[in-house]
Amino acid sequence: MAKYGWLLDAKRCIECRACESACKQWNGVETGINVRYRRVNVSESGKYPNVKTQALSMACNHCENPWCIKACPVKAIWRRDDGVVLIDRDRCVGCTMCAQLCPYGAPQFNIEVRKMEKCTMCVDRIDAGLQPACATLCPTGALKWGKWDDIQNKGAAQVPGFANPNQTKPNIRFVVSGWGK
Amino acid sequence: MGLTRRDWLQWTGGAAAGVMAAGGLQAAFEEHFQAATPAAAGEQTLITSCGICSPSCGIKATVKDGAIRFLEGLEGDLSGNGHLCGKGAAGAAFTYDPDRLKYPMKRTNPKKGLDEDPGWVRISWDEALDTIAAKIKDAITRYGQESLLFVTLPSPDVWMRFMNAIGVINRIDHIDECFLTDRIIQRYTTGGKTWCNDFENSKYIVLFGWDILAKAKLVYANGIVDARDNGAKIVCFNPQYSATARFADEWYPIKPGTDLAVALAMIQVLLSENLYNKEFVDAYTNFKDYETKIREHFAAYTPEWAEQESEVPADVIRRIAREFAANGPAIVPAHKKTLCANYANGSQLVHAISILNILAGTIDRPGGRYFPRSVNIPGVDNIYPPPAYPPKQGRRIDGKEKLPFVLEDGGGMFSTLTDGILNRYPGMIKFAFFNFYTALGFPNPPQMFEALKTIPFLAVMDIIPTDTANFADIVLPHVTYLEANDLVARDYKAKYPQVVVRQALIPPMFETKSIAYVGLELGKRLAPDYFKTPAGEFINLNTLLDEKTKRSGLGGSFAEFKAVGIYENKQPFTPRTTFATAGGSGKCQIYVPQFAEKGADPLPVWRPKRDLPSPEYPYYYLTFIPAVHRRNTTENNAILHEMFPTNSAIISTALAAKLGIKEGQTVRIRSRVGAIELPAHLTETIRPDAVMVAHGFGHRSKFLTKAGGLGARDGDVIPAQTIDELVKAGNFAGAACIMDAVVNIEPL
Amino acid sequence: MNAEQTAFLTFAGSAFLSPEPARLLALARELGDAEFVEILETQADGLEQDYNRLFLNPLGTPLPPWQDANQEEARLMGEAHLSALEWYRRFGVAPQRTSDPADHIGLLLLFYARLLDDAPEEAEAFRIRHIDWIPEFCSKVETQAQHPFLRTLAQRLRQVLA
Repeated sequence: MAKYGWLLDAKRCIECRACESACKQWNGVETGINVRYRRVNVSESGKYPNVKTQALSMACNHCENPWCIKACPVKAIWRRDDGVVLIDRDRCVGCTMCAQLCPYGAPQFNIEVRKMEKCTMCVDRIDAGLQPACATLCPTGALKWGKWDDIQNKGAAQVPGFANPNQTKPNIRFVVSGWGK
Repeated sequence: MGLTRRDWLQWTGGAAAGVMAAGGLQAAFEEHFQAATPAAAGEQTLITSCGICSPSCGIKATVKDGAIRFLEGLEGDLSGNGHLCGKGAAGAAFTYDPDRLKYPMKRTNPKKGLDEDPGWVRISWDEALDTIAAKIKDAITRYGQESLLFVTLPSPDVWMRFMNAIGVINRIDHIDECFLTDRIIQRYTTGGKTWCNDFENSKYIVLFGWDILAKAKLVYANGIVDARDNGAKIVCFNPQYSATARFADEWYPIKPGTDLAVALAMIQVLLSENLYNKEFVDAYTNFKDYETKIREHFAAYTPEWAEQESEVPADVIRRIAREFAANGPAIVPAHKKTLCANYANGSQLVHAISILNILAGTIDRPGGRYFPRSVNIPGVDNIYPPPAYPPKQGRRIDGKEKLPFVLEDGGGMFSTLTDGILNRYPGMIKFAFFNFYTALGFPNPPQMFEALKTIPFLAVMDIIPTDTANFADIVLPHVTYLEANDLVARDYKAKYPQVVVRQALIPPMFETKSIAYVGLELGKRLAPDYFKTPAGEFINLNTLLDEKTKRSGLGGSFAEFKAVGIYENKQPFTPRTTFATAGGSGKCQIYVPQFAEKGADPLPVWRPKRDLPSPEYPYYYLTFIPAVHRRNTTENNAILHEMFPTNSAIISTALAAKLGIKEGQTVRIRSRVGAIELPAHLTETIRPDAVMVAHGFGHRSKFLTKAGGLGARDGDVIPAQTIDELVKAGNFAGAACIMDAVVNIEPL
Repeated sequence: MNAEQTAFLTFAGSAFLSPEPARLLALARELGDAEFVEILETQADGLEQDYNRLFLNPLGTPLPPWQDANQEEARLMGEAHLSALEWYRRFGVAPQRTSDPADHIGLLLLFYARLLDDAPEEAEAFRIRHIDWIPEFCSKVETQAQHPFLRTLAQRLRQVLA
């Protein structure tokens, strides 16, 4: 059972991308090769003027039943006791099977080193008692991180545009209740 | 691996660092290396302030081994509320951008043009400053002060002192593209800077084009989020459904440039139905003195009339006005480009908005716009009083003398500058200094490039290479805010005074310096009497900062304060009962007699935007600044560039279908002054009679290794103005009309 | 690498740090290198302009002379800077200009030359980490430089490091 998870309240997202910048900064993720562990995906629905938009900040959902681990032919992906899913870059051969099976686009191919990489839930930060960089910087509380015991009953398992959670059981919940502290 | 004593001496040459041993090659190593203690630098946590936009969110910075490791928000900071936006979090990438300006340079190729190689040669700071001083002196002697053009904000204080000391009359800033209209209107209607919005206590918020969430200005965005949590209702008028609209309860895709009609009609409803806050209005405004005039003036601005202009239904306008009155505290925020500067009726719109807030009775009240309670940080003129400044004599390149309220204010005018240089006073400007501004920030940048060619000597100070620098005779490298020292008051959310330090996280890289240094050094050369302390020595910037710290009550010295990082005085908020409006009545002014006295509208009148759709140009042109960018200064930041590398022509799927445009297809957008070509991006979130383009792209320099050559300049289709146009349009508060264009769209 | 070659590395490092022609001429004479002496004696004009155009152009640097800026993800004060600083620190030295990146090509060459002379057993590790990027950089200088001094310098440096 995972120890941690994400709580996403999409209505609070102002699309500032502090989460993306914080991740890049902390993890030293290379720029210019389209590798971004976390991305804010904005989608729209309806027809003008009855239009709606939705902003979802997505990284890796460190699933209970990770398809990336199943997909990897060289056992380069592994899961810590606390549920964090990590790619061992030394073992990875860059076959991209994990990316092909992940419903959330988490593993990404680094064209420079020809290996996969993805969100690590900032294990160095969480092991030091801090929050991941993204959640630390989110100004509005749209993106929260915390103990899965606390989070799992705080929202829905799915929102429009998010792949069926019954497949990999991602450790993420979406707040669907209204405004109010 | 230990070193023997012989090795150690060999490495350091056995001499003190910096002493050259005999023999060229042998000395080469010692010339560039010095002895160092083997102890590794540790990890430090330092407090500083962001410098990307004015609220200057507090930063908690992690610095490791002398390199900036991580930036996050500062708990307790009023501006960021403990957070940073995507721009602020990516701040270190500015400092570490290999393209950043590093050393003073001068050109050796006299030919100037966007495609000319200037033939740069590196020079020392002294040579750069000596050259610039000589050019200024020569221009003043031969042509007078009017021949000098300084395109810069009036800060920092030492830099402004220099310009005052040599009698610069032509100092131009971009404020007419920003809050100039608001500042002028507030001077006469509420008497202060109402930039603070008490959103968390607001219950009804009406947004006219105010798109702050989509710009990620945290100081206000945090407040809107609080307002939502506290049950506020938000109504948003904007031709685009942006992130701001998503936070609103009701969104109306208003016809561009007609927010004024809705605001006037709201006032009409409040007055005709007597729904305004009588207690506040009677006690604190001049309403009773002009009541008949006021009621008569607004009578015709009915919601039915406003519907014709704005396409917002009359019953909606009426209902919103009633809700605005009934569900207080109510607020209509203003401030900055999105509604102050966009259109020719900006002055009127800002006045109407001020009246709405006055009628709501929330000026300097909970839930409304309030005046910042600031720490008074004395400036250099206060600490070292100068001799009397020479009078400013000569002709104004921007024509401000024709707009008395703009002249009185002193800010602006970007929208009339190129006309001044090319047409009104051709050849008058002999020397120009651009500080942290570039042609891309003007309407009609190609016209600005033409204007730059007519100026014999141009100095540019900036952080990143810009297209304007391509025309410079001397380029000066500026520090980034992460390498600077200052005291930053929280002015955008300040119910109580708070100051956060700005301290250099690393020493300034290469030979970058601050504009304050330039002001001081030019001052020493050209106006030494203005740059001495009472003791007769030259002003020292570090001592000055210590004095500011001491006299503000922040500590015994800057070094002492920076260790603490944040100062605040959580005094209780006492709402004002007198208002420092010009004229000295002590009251808020709805009707402004001073405007009438100088031929301007004492009450807002309906005026349309300047450029209206026509058969040749049928579509509205809208611009925006993406949340991850700031003006035209961030496009080359490695992290931000990746998120938003270039711009596109954003049009509705309906319009695309009508014109036969597919997603990604190149389209030409053409106005009466220029044309740009961009790939189309289709969306449902915008009116079908408009096209929207992100500002800040179209940098030409191929040496800007990330942003160079990408996108198009949004300003190429936006007309600049002549001063007479502003006067004729009744644009008495100087709105730059920075979005007032109509265009033709053509698939290619 | 022999003593003559390490002396050349010192010369090259100095040249990349500062293109002042008179000083370079003195160094070239000391090196006893006829080709460089001839270029500097007869064609010193325009050397500084070309150097600035290539390495310090305020409009944006096409050939930034720092190792970190020549990785695919160009930046300053990155991994190479920190690694170089650590190398220097181990031998009790630091760059004179502490506010500038430590992975400037000139600094790396000067340090490498010293390692080859005084601690050759360490030189290989330093070469792999901090010198192997230089030959490709030199190819770009050869293609883009207009002044014969810089073209020759890059060509010869690439040969010495091969």
